[in-house]
Amino acid sequence: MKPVNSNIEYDVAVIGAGAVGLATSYHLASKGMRVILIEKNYAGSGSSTRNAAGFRVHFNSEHNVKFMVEGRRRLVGFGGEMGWNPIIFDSGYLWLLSTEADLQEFKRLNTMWSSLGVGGRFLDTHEVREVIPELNPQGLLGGFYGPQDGTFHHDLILFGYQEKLEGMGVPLLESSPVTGFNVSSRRVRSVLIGSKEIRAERFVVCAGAWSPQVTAMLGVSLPITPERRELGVTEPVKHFIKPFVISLKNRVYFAQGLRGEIRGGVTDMFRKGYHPLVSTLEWTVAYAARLIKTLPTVSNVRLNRQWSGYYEVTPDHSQIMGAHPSWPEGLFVAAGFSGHGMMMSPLAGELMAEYIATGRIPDLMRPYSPERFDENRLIDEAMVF
Amino acid sequence: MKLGYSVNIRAWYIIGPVCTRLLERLIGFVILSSSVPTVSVNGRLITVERGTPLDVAIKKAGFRGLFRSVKFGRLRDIMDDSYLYPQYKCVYVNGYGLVNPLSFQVEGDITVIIDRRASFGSILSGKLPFFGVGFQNSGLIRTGFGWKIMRRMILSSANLPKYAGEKVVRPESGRLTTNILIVGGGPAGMGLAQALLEKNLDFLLVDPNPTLGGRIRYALNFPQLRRALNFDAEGLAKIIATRRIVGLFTGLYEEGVGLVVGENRILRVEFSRLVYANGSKCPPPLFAGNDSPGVISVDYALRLRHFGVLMSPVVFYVEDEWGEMVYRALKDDLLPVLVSPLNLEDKVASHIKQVRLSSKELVVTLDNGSRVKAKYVVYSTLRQPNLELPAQAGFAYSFSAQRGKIVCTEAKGEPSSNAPVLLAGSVTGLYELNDAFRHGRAIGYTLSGDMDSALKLTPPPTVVHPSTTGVVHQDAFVCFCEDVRVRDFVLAQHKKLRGPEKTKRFTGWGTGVCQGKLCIANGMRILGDRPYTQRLPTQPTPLAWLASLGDETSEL
Repeated sequence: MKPVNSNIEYDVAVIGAGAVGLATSYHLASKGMRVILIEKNYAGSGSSTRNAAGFRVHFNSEHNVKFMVEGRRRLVGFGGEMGWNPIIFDSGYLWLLSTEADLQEFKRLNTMWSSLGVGGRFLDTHEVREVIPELNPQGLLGGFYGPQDGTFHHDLILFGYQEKLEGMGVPLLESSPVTGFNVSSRRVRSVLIGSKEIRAERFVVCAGAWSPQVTAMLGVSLPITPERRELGVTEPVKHFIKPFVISLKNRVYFAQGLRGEIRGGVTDMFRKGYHPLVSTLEWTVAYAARLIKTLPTVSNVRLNRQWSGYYEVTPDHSQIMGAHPSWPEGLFVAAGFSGHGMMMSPLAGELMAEYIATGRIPDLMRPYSPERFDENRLIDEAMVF
Repeated sequence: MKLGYSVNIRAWYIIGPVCTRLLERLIGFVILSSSVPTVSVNGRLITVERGTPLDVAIKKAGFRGLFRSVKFGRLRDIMDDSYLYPQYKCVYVNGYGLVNPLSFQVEGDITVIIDRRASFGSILSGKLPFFGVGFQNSGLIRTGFGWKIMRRMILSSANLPKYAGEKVVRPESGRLTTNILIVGGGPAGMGLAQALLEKNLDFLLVDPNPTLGGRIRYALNFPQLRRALNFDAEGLAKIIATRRIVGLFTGLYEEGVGLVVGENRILRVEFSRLVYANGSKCPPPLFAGNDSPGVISVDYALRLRHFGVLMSPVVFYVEDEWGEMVYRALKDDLLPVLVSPLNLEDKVASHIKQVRLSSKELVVTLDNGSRVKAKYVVYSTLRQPNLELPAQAGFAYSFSAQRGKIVCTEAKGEPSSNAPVLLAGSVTGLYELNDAFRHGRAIGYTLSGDMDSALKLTPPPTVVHPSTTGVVHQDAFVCFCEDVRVRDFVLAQHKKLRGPEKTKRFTGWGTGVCQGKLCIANGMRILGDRPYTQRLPTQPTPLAWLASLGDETSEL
């Protein structure tokens, strides 16, 4: 870590060194801007290291599909650009459908997905069981397979950005919680970390679920609520689950990593608010039961680790990117990714950097403006797992 | 184009560490591999008769055992896995995986013959039944074509067990409620139980061992220690017998309930107070070759001796009084060489530099340059306390550079520390047995409100052991489960990924099946830092067992 002199001015101070903050800093620094990255704990300590590491292009909202079609390219190209292999595994997503209504809904969505070039395939029960013979066929109507989707390894994305930033000489202040801001003439002048003052032209809040706490210091309230969700991984077993599986009926999702571990969670159990990131027995029991119900052969496999983390949820389950006219000048936000931040981060960072450097809002980013909540232009996103 | 390389493992112990480093640097990864390792005992394979304890043990261990012993290519054919529990102490037997060595009689010493051959092509085609890839770090961060090959290999890896090896055992599940739940039946837990019995308080005691006593179990054979402890452990165990659960406490959940996993049952235990008294075990120390067959803990040595199979010559490595005691008890019999940093009169050196497995024996290099041949290296160490408390329980560990060891403290003010949890004994296993017993009793009196009695017992226990220092060899294991060595830590440092959390995520340190019990302390010693956040459950638990606790099972 480089010593920081509080007299030095930066072009941009990025608050929050999760995936989005790291990516934003990297792209800003690549454009030759003087950037400082401020993190209250350690890089990745919030939600970036606590997620299920899946990526998909299949969303309910066309905006989000377009965003992730481009975002997927960034993920796949990450290894080549950064020299760190994010272990992209093009395993596809497999939605297990059990009701006619679900089937019709996916058919409707697939028309839209196909028009955007990312159509998937419908599988009958027999075909589903060809993909994973061990699946419980009971009550199964079929499946939807999205071959464009897959899994990756979040830690390596974080490591890649950290190494690059270190190489570019961007200071990363860890264990430095923001305690306040200095504002004058409706413009943010500096950020305070205890007695330390860091002055910058612009401030980007990428603090995930904690973003509302940061912006509250500026009197700005963000419509982001933390939702505590839980995850678990089993001991490694021989690889037999290729796709990332979501069972709509059993409300459970799971995938098998390259090291053999089966990781997953339930789709409908969460607790709103800043609850301690601990584990509950209720979740443990429910997850085990639902996983076995979907995949009876894993009964003997042992649960090895479990943890919890926050989804940073907005009213329309889509991120907030940009600035609002009512905010103090110089404040930008890239947060509220509602559980999709990790997969979107490489692109989100790039777009934010472009916006901040040029002042022009890139097309892909336009729908995510914070003004949409006043103008009732909410994004129709319901596919959150 | 990068090429893979296959190694005949017979030569592995000779070319060993140097070769791995070189190959990893040159070509990116090393494949150590191939068909089933052959292990013979006394020159012949063990014949297994149906229905014998060995037969049962083999069926129980199955391929999980194999997985545990050979993961991602680095071999541990015979393990003294003291980091788990005695019922899991295993040796590797050809075709059967790890089996409990106490369930059969081993005559004489155990010779390991490993015969493996593999071609690059056979691995790529995924046809080999067993292989592993040393891919932990250097492989993962590669991109492009090398990664494509590696992914193929990892996916077809048969090092891992299949998901459904054995029939699903449906455990008995149940609920228990008690006032005070004591985790651990060693000296501290028993002291606490004794005080609670005196005060007529309701309690339950959880311990995974069929026999209570922790380290006292061994001490019972040694009159002088028993006198020093000044209590009747056997008698007390009999009284506690009605209030104990045989099982392992695997975690405290947000609801304030604990899970106990036993041989064939799983219990949800509710309590108003929880007392951790689960001390520590003493897994292998940090010197090169500490994963060699025949490097065993003093506790394990006592067991082998009980079965008459501990063979001379033996090298003792002793860091604590308990080790010294065992050494004194066994020395007339075995005439061992004593290596110790303690000020002991018959010692020959202060540290073991390296243990190397030659064809039939261990060659031990000492830090004075001399070499000793041995059948067994027996150690007692302060280095790797068995850290059982998840951070969620409201406890924190810190590394005291001054004392050279890990200390456990209550994490006051943490959001999760509202659980009614207390500590009895040393937790890191650094107290003397009688101090732990006394501390347990003091906690018991405190809980009953009898502060006078508690105060009488509370002069600070004598904790101070001489701390040990030694050169940490780059090839020493930090974490067995995830196959992390010291040099992987060094690589993380080079990559500027400093601090325990990042190091954990880079190397996989502590994320394996032992859940950091073995290795957290190792890593902390190297980093000189706090440990990372530990996760539940503290012992991997079958999904079907967990599911059996809920109402959702009715849907199954």
